[in-house]
Amino acid sequence: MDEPAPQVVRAAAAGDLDAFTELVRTYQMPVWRFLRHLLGDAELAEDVTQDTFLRVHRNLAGFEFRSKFSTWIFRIARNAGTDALRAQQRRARLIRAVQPAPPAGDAATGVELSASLASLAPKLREAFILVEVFGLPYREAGDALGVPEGTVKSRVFHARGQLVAWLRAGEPGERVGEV
Amino acid sequence: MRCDEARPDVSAAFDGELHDAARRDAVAAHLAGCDECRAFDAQLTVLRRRLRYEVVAGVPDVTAAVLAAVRDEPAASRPPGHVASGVLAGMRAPRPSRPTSPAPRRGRPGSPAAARHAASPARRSVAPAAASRPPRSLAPVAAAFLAGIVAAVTFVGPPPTGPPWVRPPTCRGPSSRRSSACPASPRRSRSWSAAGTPTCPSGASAAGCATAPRVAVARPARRDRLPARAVGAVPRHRRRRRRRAWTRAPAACPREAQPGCSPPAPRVDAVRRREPFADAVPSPLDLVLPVDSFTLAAAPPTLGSRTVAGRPALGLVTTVAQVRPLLDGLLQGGGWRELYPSDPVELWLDAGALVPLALTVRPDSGDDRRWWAARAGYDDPAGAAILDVVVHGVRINEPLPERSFPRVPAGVTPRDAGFDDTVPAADAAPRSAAAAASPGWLPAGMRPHRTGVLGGGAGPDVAVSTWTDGRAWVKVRATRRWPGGRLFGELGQVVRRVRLAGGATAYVAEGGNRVALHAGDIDVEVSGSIGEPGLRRVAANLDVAAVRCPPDGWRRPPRPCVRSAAHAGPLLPGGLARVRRAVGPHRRRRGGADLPRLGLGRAPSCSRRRRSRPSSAAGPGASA
Repeated sequence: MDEPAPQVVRAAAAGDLDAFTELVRTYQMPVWRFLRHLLGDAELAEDVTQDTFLRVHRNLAGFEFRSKFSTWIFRIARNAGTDALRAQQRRARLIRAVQPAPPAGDAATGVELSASLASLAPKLREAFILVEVFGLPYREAGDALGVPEGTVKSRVFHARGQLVAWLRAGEPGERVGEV
Repeated sequence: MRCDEARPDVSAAFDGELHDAARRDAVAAHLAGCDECRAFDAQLTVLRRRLRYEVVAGVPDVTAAVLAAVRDEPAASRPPGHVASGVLAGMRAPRPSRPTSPAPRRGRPGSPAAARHAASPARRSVAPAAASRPPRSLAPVAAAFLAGIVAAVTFVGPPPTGPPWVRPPTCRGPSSRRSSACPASPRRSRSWSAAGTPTCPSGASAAGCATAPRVAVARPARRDRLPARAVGAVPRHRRRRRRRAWTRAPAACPREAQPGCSPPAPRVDAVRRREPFADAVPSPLDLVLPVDSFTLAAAPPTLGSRTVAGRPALGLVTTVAQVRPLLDGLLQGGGWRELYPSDPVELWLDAGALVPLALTVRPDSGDDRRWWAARAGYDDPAGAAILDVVVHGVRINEPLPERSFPRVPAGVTPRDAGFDDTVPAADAAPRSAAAAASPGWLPAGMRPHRTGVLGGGAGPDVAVSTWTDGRAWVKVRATRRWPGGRLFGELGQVVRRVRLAGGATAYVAEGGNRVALHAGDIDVEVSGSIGEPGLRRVAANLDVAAVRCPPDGWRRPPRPCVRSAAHAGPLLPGGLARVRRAVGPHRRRRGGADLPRLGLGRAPSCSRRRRSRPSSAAGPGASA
C-alpha cells in the first residue's frame, strides 16, 4: 500500500483540506474494505469509514511518524470498528430481550466466505484481515492492533485453522473464544 | 515434529514471517512427509486468493461527507492552521460517480453520520475536492533528461502501463560498450517542448482516457541554464521577480471511480519561491527522465528505429514501473486510468537527445494482472494498446513559443514554498553551511544552477545548492541547525550505512538516489539524478567530516525526538531515515554494506524509551 508523502500528511495536519482530501481519497477504499470484513456489513462499514476519517482529522496533529501512516489509519479504523461492534452488540442484546432469537443459519447457506469471516471472533478476524487481505507484516499488524507480533501470529493461525475447516466442510466454522 | 506443532509455523511461513532457518527446514521436512499439513498449506493459498483478490464493488466515496463534517466541526477540534481554502474550494466540481457504484451516502437513517449530514445545510453543496496524487520521487535517476512537455498532451485510450525505465546498458557504460543503437554522446537538450495527443484504442472506454489534459510546461533554452524555477507558466520577464510557477490540469480520477470516471474540473496549483528539484512541489520542468533506468534487463528488447513526430526515434520495451516517473509527470496534465506495474511499455526515444517521443502500453498477462483488472473494473484485451501517447511539435534547443509561459490565472493565490535565492546577509549560518557543502568534485559538464536558503518555517534554515548539465542534476542541502534525533534529509525508512572513499561515513537511501552525512556541526543531504556512485563521490568530496549517527544520543535522547521532528514544520524534509540498531546484533550485511534495520513503527534511533502496549481500544482515534 502506497504511503503518502510526509509533506502531504504535515499539510493535512496543518489544516490543508486539499491535502486531507488526498489522504481520504487514498485510504477510503482500504479502510472501507477492512471495516466491511470486520463488521460484516457494508452499510455500517461506510458509516464507520466516515467516522474513521473524522477521527483521523482530529488526531492528525498527533501523528508522529513513528509508524507507517497506513498502519496508523488502520489502527484508527480498528478502534472505530470496535466501538461500532460494541454498539451493535448492545443493540443485539436489546433486540434479543424483546423478541425471540432468529433460527440458526442453515449450513447450506454458508457459501459465502464473508459468512465464515463473520463466524470468527473479532480479535481473530481483525488480525486475519490485516494480514491476509491487506498483506501487512505481523509487526505492522501488531502496531495497528496494539498487540505483540507473536499474538498476531497466533491469532492469524487460529483464524486460518477455522477457515480451512470451513473450506473443507463447506460451512461456517464455530465461533470460538477470543485469544 | 507433530502436526499441531508444525501448523503455526506453516501459517507463519506462508506469510513470510518464519525467520528462523532451522524452523523453516523443520517445517519443510514435516510438509514433505505429511499429507494433512500439505493440504492445510494448499488451503491457505485458496483462502488468500479468495480474500486478497476479491472483486470489490460498490465502494462508497465518503470524501464529500467527511469534508463537510470536518468543516462543521467546532474550531477547537480542528488542526492548527485550518483554513477553508476558499479559492480552491470554488474550483471544486463534483466527480461523476462510477456507474456501478452508488452515490456517496451520508450515513444510514438514524446513524450519527446521517445526523451530522442533516445538521449541515452546506453539506449537499460540497463536492469532492479535486484529487491529486502525491508527488513521487524521481528516484532512480541517472543520466537524465527531458525537460518539459509544453502543451497539449492528448491521451487516447485507457491508462498506460509498462515496464520500468531502464537505460540500455549500451548507453550506460564506457564508450566501448556503446552500440550504434545508443548515441555515444546524446546531444545536450537544453530545452524541449512538445505537444502530445493521447488516443483511445478502438474498443476502449473513451471516458477512461479522453481527459483532454492541457499542460503548460516548458524548459526554455537560455544558455545552458535550466530555469527550473519557471514552473510552467511565468512569463520570462517576470520570472526573476516573482518566481512563481503553476500548473493547471484535470485532477486524476480515484481508482475506485475508474474506468467510468470523467475527471473533475481542472485544478490550479500555484507556488512561489519553489526549491529547485523539489519532490514536494513537483514541476514538469523538473521532469528529468531516468534514461539510465529504462530497463533492468542486461539487454533490453529493442524495437528498432522509426520516425516519430518527424524525428528519428529508437524504440525499446520496458515496463510501467520503470517509466513511472515519466507517467507521474505526465499525470499532472490529466487524469489517466490506472496501470499495472508490470504492463509492458513500448517506448520511443528521440535518437539524438533521447527524450521521449511516444509510448504505448499494453496489458501484461498473468493471473495477478487479471485479478487486478477485474478488481479495478478494467477490461483489457490481451495485446491491445491501453494507452498511446504521441507527442508532436517537438522542439529541442529551440526558443519556446511565447505562450509557453501564460500568466497565473486570476484569483489563484500561490503557496509559498519558502525558498530564497539570496542568502540573508545577516544570517551567516546558511552561508557557512553552503560553503562547507560545496563539493570538490562534480560530474563533467555540471554547472551551478540555483542556490539559496530554504527557511521561514519552524525548521532550521537549509542551504540549498544545485548543479545541472541540462539533463542530470545534483542538489546539496545542508544545515548547521539540525536538531538531531534522526538523519537529515528524506532518505526514507531504509538506509544503508556506507564508507565513502575518504573514510567518512554516509547513509544511502534505499533507491540510491540520496546520500546523507552527519557531522558534529553540520548535516548534509546529497541528491540528484546521477546515480548512487556519482552521489557518493560528490558526498565524499564535500568538506564535511562525516561520522556515524550518535549511537547513544539518538537512541536514548532525553525526550522523544521524533515528536519534535514531526512538528518541525512543513519545510523540513520528512521521511527521515530512522536508523535502528546501526550497530548491534541485528546488523546485516547486504550488498557489501551494513543495512541497519529500521523501525517502521517506531523510531529507535531517536528513542528507545519503553512504551507500554496500548490496550485494545487505545491509540489514535480511540474513544475515551
